Amino acid sequence: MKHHMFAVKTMPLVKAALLATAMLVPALPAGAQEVDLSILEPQAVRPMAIRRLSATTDQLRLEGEMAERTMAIYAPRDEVLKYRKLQVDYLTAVSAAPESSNLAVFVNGQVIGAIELKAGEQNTLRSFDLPPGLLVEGFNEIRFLAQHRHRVDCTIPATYELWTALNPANTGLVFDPGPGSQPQVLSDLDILRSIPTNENGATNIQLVQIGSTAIGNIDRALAVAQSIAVFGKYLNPDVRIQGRPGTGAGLDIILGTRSELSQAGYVIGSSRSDIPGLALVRTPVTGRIALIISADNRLALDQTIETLASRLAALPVTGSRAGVAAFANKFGRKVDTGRAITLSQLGVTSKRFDGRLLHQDFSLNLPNDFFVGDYGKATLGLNVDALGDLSKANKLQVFANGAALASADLTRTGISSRNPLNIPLGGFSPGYNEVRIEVSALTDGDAVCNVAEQVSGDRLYLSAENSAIEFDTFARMRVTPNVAVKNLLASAPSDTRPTLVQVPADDPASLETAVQLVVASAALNQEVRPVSLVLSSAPVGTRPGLIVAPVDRLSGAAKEAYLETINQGRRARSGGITGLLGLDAISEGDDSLWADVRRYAGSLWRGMGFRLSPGANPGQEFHLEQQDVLFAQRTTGLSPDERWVAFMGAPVKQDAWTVVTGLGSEDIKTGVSALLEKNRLSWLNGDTSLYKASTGQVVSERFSEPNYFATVANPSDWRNTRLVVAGVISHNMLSFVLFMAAFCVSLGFVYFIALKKSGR
Amino acid sequence: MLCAAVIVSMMAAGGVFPAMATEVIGQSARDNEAVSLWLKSAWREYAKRFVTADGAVIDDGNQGISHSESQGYGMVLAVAVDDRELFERIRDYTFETLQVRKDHLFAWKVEHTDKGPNVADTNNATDGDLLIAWGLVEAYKSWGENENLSSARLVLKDIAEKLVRDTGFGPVLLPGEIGFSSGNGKEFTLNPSYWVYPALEAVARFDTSANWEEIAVVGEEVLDLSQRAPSYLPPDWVDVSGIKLDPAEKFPLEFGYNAIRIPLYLALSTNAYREKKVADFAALKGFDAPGGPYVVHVVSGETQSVMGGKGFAAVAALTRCMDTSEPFPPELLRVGADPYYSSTLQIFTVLALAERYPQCLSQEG
Repeated sequence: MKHHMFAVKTMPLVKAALLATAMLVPALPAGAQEVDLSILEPQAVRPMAIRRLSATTDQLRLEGEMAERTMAIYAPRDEVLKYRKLQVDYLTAVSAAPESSNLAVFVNGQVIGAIELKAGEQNTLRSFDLPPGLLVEGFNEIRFLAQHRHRVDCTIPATYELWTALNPANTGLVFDPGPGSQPQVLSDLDILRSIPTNENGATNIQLVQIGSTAIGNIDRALAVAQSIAVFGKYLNPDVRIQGRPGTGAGLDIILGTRSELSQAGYVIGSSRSDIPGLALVRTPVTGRIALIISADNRLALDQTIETLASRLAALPVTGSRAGVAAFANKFGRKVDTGRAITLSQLGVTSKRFDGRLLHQDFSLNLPNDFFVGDYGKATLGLNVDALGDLSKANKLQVFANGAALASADLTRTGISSRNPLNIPLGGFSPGYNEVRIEVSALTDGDAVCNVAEQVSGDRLYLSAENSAIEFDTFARMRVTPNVAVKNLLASAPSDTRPTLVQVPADDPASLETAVQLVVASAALNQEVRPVSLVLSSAPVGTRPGLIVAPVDRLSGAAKEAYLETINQGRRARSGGITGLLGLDAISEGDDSLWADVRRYAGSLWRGMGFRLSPGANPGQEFHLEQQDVLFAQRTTGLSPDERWVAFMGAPVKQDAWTVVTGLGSEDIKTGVSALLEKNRLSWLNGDTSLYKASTGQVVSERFSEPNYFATVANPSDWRNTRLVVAGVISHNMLSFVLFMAAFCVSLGFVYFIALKKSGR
Repeated sequence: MLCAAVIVSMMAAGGVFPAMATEVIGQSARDNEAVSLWLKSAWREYAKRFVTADGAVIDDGNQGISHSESQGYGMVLAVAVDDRELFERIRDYTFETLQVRKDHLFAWKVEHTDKGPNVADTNNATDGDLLIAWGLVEAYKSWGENENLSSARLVLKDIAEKLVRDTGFGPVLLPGEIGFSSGNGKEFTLNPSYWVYPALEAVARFDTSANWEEIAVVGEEVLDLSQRAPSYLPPDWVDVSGIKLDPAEKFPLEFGYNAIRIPLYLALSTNAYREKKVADFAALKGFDAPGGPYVVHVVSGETQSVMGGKGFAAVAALTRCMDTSEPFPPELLRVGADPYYSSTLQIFTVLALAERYPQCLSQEG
């Protein structure tokens, strides 16, 4: 391998931003003091290192009577043999009955240990030996399976009180990093799949702004961060822009021309990379990685960045079979129409269930140009056998991105895949989607709830191999405006230029939020989008692009978009079939005959594969409170000619403003961080979504007229047109009904005249 | 002399990033007393030395000829300093003397003889035509005379019809009607500095005879592809065939007196992305320190000569300002000694600084 002149070493007079400061004097990770000390040699004083799981607090929360979490962790070649133990730090809900609650831990399909879950336990830190050879270089699967039982309550709502939360700070692989704490110069780009996560489970990525005050290098660092987020599927990035490298777990991206790096005190020696001008350095204890890219000038720097991006894209995914599958499914399996995907292919395992509410999560990835109309459906053929003597009141419910989409009654024998359930597509988004299945399994005995007897015997068996989901034909039509994560950084179809990301100049919190969203959406979309940061001393929002700023610093179209959400008079109230039937507002407690009729109509409609309104009350939801974040996108209007041209697939220039706002910049930052931590980015929908910090929920609405852009080679394809037209009609049902009534009256009148004239 | 008058009250804008673009070119400069004073003084000196009583703008470094480019520059600068009388004089001369073709484009070259002006070449120069149209549009924006806008539209319509060609990259600007495309009409010789970005942005708002914004975007792509190792400086001329782009064979393989204008035009752009490209020039040969820029052989990377003149050095200083906020050297504000071309670039550079990066105009001068 060719070695190039590039490495980092210290020099006497370095500036404050010296990279080596971070690498030679590493800060002890907060979690390091809490790791299991039993694995230390008696005389050893070295702190143990931990490689945490790439998951947030929310993702490590195991909820319900049976909860399963599967994740992939990358073991680099030089560390895989050092990993000796898997450490777990946990906290269990007080409601969980200790005698029948436990947590099993699997690595690459093999059980390595189990924990009896006891609420209020003093020592919540456990570690399990990893058998030699179990971990392999590359991705490995780690699976947690928690089973809980409620102490005193046998109802379905009580099952939501059961949880075990794993602490991301102290959960992961622990090992002795060895005596040397010197930074290691690495050659393998695969290491960028193992960026260690911080105590909160986030991946800290620090864009180091050196020397130059020009922001162009931050654009470049952001492009690199996006490539790495795509490469490692880092969903919850904690992106910072600082003048010096960070400490603790994470990644520093340091780039600039050779003279810029030199002036900032970064001394360049030789590197082991075969990409000229690129070096990878890791601090052993924290695992923090520094990616350093330099070139003679900015244009050469761009070429090096392009080379890096193409190399990363070409690297294969390696590891254990289960680990590779877990990584592949991380952002959902790509869906092809007309092809059934078994739940086992989606990472679901077959299981026997002895509780009262079985829930199972998986994720799907739909095409970018998937038309989110109400027409069209997916069919879920679920194979759930009822093993016990279940009552008649049991149901299956299907949720997508938090919204209930379909339900069915459970028969005495369970549910057979021969009777698939239709799921309307209206609740799905282009790109990443979270799907949850809930199956209740109540018995008549649960009504009595003899706690002493509790549940005895299995009640359900879910066969993942024999359960499958299948999507019929998709309409392929891009709809704008649309805040779905695929479209957050919208650019006009005819424009290949970078999206302008605009923030106030003196607002670092908004700037970091903006770059955090850019990197997170790159990871989720598995796509790098060129962006250009613009810091403005004036209020922002007059130019198209992504605008991140507090409400009092918005201007132009961005301000209009915000004002529209709080001005009820300007709202185009969504009609549709749910409005027509009055299904929007059936309150839980309404047991009148009319409410029953509407509920029945709703279930009929659902059975036909149409999504019902989530029941949002648009009167109040879009008022911002602390840490709420509003996402709204507006586009320039198209003339009728342009609409038709766009509908037929020809490029049309259309500018889009995506505004991300909140009461203050810290509110936006905290809200977006919480949104990412809860993995809610994919829940954004419509042209306006509000993340409510108080509930963790996302409320979506459409305020502006949608524009349709054909994206398939043949937009007039019959199936595509049929689905799109049906979708449009279902969104405008009242207009359609009135039109049809007027048409029928006109037809009747003409017929009547014709008959009269013919003398009949 | 005048540099002492340059004050930094405009620094109040804060930050190191461009402020919002103003509507009319020179608006920020006009609004700032000190910069306005410098500009007016520099313009008076410029007009005295290079603009004749008839309104011809003389290129004293080029046998004293006038050309569509110099007329266009003169018109834009006159609007920028709010000199309507001189603008009209230059405009009228331009239309009377250079608009001698069958279309609304302008002959590129006029010699001044004892018998009066003589059109030496009726071929057009697209950058000159574009600059004139820009000047007319800016005049319309500034003073609201509809005739200026309608005249600009006629020029732009002919540019769109005769000089815009489709290539593998998209629509490009042919440098002139004659002599820049092959017999089969598929190979073209282009000049990246003929993409006058602020002009394309300004005219796009008033004219739809071509997709000027798209042309500007394609210009960026042509520029990106032309910047290659070892120097990464764009050549003055390039050959384009399909999606293949190379330094032009029939011109010197140089970054020279044409391409030096590229960072200036990018800096005058109101597009943030284009402005950032200016900063990228700061690390290139001849731009990275006082003393440059140089004429550079783009294949070997060797320096051919130094571009002597404050205007050229001012462009290099502009790139450093936009990169690292390096103060603009006060000596580059002195006027009165340089020939036409250098002086023109010098004034445009100060205009760009006043509009986009006023913080680089330091008080020490």
